[in-house]
Amino acid sequence: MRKIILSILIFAGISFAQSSGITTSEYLDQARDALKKAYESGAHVKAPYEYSKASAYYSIAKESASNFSLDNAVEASKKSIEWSLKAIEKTFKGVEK
Amino acid sequence: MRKLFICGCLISLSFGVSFAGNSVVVDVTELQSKLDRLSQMYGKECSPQEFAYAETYLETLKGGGKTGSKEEYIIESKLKECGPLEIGYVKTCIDSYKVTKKEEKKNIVIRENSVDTISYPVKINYYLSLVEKNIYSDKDGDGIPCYKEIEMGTNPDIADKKEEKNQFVAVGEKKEEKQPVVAETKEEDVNPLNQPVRVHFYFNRADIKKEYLPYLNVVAKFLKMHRDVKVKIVGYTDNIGPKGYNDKLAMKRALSVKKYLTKMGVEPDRVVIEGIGKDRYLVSNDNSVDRFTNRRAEFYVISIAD
Repeated sequence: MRKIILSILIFAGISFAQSSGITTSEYLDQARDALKKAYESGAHVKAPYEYSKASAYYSIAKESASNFSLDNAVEASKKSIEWSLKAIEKTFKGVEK
Repeated sequence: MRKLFICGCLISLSFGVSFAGNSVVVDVTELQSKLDRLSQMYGKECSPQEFAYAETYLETLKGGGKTGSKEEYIIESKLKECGPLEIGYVKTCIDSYKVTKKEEKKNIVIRENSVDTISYPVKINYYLSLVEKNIYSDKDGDGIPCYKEIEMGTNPDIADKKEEKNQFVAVGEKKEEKQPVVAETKEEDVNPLNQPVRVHFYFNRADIKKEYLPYLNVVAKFLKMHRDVKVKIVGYTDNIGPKGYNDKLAMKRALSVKKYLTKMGVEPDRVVIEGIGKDRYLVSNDNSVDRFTNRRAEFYVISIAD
């Protein structure tokens, strides 16, 4: 009986992971990578506001993930990536759009 | 076993009820107004990191735990009387169709049970206090706070030389005495009026050339910041033409500078104008370049309140 329940749970978990596509942890990884790239390009000096926005959203994403509010974590990760890109863009352009 | 199960259920139920009953209500309006106020005081420029953190947490809190902004629209449409099967229904039956953006409510109150509702306002207040501290801070140690430096158009991270008080004429001492600040200043001074402020004009014209506008903007900013300073603008001409006409032209030149400063937000009663005309030449009027140099409007500081 226990084995059956366990196998059902594992199957359900795998199918859920497959259906959702990108997982929260993957979003968080991507956000962290984008933030790292922004830092390496010097955005923390040349575009401090944009870089800090990205950093703040990444922090929120991590907090949300730790509170099991995965939707918020994904949304915040997306925002973080968006702001990291803005920071990189501003760093290389030198002016605000 | 059954007793334990029932006890567990009761405990969990009581926890749920108590937690649901004590929902936290946070009024975001105050935080938002504080952020707006700091934004107007160049908080974003003086303290970009802390400002960004405060703004992000506030955005997230306003979103009720969800990130991103939400916009609401109202659709108003009026329908005419017409048959359901009428051809061209959309064109003929819709009388008017209007989409308007819904105005935001003045008081934004958030009622949430999550921990974020409690922790975020604390974080926002913490970051806002840091922003406020940085706005009034003097990073470069020149005695001018950050927000004032940005208003003046100088770099808050590079030290500027402090203003020398004795360069101005104090009220009550020698009010009538006019000192051309131009002659006694140095290049590194922060005060734009301590720099040679001269606006030159084309022949027989009183309109300000475009290249002088940025400098006049700095002067206007300075005057807006220092409400105790009054200036006198004196217009001059070259030696060509009759005296009466040149006096009027000189007055017009001073007036056009005054008008620009007034347009930039300086109170008109703080700007006094005078037209000197064919007098007090800077250089001789031998050639066109010299005459251009003499066709000018100059600034003089006339009073500073204590």
